Amino acid sequence: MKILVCAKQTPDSTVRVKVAPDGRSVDAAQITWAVSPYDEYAVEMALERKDADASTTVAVVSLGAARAKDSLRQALAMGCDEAILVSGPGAEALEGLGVAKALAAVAQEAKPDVVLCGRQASDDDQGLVGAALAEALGWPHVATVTKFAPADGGPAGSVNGIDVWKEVEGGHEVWRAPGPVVLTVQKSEKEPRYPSLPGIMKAKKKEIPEKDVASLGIGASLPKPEIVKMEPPAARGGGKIMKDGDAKRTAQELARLLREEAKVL
Amino acid sequence: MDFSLSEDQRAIREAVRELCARFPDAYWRALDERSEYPTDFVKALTDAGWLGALIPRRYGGSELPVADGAAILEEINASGGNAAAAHAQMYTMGTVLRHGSDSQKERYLPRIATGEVRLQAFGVTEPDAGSETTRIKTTAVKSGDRYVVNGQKVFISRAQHSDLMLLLARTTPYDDLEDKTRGLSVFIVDLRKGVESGQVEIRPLATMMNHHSTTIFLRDLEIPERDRIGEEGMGFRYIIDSWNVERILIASESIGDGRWFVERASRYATERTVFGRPIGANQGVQFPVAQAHADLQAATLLRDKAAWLFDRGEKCGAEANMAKLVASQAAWAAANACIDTHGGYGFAKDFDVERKFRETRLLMVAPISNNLVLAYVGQHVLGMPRSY
Ligand SMILES: Cc1cc2nc3c(=O)[nH]c(=O)nc-3n(C[C@H](O)[C@H](O)[C@H](O)COP(=O)(O)OP(=O)(O)OC[C@H]3O[C@@H](n4cnc5c(N)ncnc54)[C@H](O)[C@@H]3O)c2cc1C
Repeated sequence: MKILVCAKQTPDSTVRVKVAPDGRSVDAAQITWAVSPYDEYAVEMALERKDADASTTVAVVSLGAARAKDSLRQALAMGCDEAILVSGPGAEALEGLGVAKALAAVAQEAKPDVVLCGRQASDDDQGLVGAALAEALGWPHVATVTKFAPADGGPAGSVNGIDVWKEVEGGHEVWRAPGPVVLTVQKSEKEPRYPSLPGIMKAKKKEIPEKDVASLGIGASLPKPEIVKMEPPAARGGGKIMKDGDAKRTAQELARLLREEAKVL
Repeated sequence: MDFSLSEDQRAIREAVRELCARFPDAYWRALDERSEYPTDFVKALTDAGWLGALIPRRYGGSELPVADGAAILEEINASGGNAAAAHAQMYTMGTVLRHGSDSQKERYLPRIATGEVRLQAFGVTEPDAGSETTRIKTTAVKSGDRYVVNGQKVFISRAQHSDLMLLLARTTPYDDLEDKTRGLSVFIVDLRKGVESGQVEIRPLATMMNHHSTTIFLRDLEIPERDRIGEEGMGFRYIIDSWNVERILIASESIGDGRWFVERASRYATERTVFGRPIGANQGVQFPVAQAHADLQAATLLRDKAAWLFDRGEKCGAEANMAKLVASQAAWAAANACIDTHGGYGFAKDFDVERKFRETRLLMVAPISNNLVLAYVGQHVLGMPRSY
């Protein structure tokens, strides 16, 4: 089975970002970059398939700035077989549909059985690209996926449809999709593996081919909505400590505060 | 001169940070509380290949330069963890690699690289011989094709979490030697077998930190001759050969600790409000942290230079020793700045400052006391008279 994972490079979620002086972007000096968490689950999910069946190949593609190469290198070190960077002038300015069209061009060339995307990117939380990619390819799409496997029945090596596990309220469903299919990933079974040292050594020998986004023929892009203002969350107010040692009086006072001040009861 | 990190170096640091992020403060705090060994952490490091970093590729390692080994240990300590639980698996093998026979290397290195065999105990120090290594009394007496060893070692770290131990023992009586640096030999000891046969007894030695130190009694321990490393009588030289790497790596752990202290201190100083403003707005709070940061940066440059020299195969004794000296001092200054910044909370276990404070203090004393480093610099670098 051939899997293509789409992975976006976003500010590392463990780093506190600050709003830049222009008030509409994050301070680049504060940022370390990483694969967006849902995309990391997608990489892990693909690699879990590879663990189960060594004939699986996993390619990973990222569209964005040249620095996204570091994140691709990271995905290679985790165990992906190949990586493709789509970059060049205009790449970062693409809006969601343009990104989906560009990724569709890559998918058409790579001819995977399954394309995995994270359900949304951690920077803009738009959740658009995966579904739009399926639309652009004309392939089926299944969302909030937690696991997938080739459906039983086909001759060895062939892909006879894909069984897809999907989280739903209070349980899960198993869907069967004809391949090729686009899946947007909720969570992998295990936490994403970390790159091993031998993985890093192997990854550094691999070429990461770069495609110019302009060469993909995605046509005119839609106007991109722009961020006009960014605000950090309001600073947390000081807590209240109730020092009256009497449990009953404290509980009464707490209930009153929750009802009258916090208005949560 | 180029101070930038290569793509590899960034990838290595990033990957180690990512692994460490799964072992947060609470993990280390709980182990410390119970004096437990970080088994899961060490397993994760081993499985991901980090402890085989310095082993040549032909023996299954990654053959990284020491500069990268340094980065690995630095990141572990900077994450709030403590590399001491596992660092020796990375470098103790160096003695086998440099002075062992081909068959010893074939026999041990591949399994050390995978972690199947743990070689992370080094038995040098004795109750009557710490800084003065050439005074050790543990004897190894040749008898046919084996040696019979008797003696006591103290402060031997991780012996209960290691399969093998490198042992320094006396093969020629001190008084019979012209050159007192001769007469000692290095052996590979199978600790598991030794304990089973009763020839090795390992007793835990509680210390200020969660460190897994032990006292080891060797009673008629039989070691086959093929487990002696290199020539008989040359053991002290072989040990000295491993010192530079060890100094560079210990300096790196200090730098990692220091980074952690500075990061915690500056964050706390910015957040904690007293007298209506953040405490970090007071120079008395801010300056010690800034000073510690500057000192750590200087130590980092010296460490980098030492590693650079080592990796080029050049002499690096002076730089490696001085890096260990200034890095451990800078980390200690950072520790004090951090605990002062935290006020009473610096002493509360939930803040982890007191734990790291205890841990980093060791690096000024062991594996070598800073006084002995100064003695080395005074005598061997500056040519002053021998002071001891
Ligand atoms: C937690 C821990 C783990 C350790 N792990 C290991 C291990 O795994 N394997 C191992 O072999 N050893 C280990 N050691 C031992 C360590 O290497 C020694 O403690 C260290 O070398 C100092 O030796 P000592 O304790 O005998 O001190 P001493 O040699 O007795 O020295 C005591 C003090 O006197 C000073 N001093 C002595 N002579 C001079 C001089 N001429 N000039 C100036 N000052 C001098 C020293 O610097 C020191 O401050 C460990 C120690 C500790 C605490």
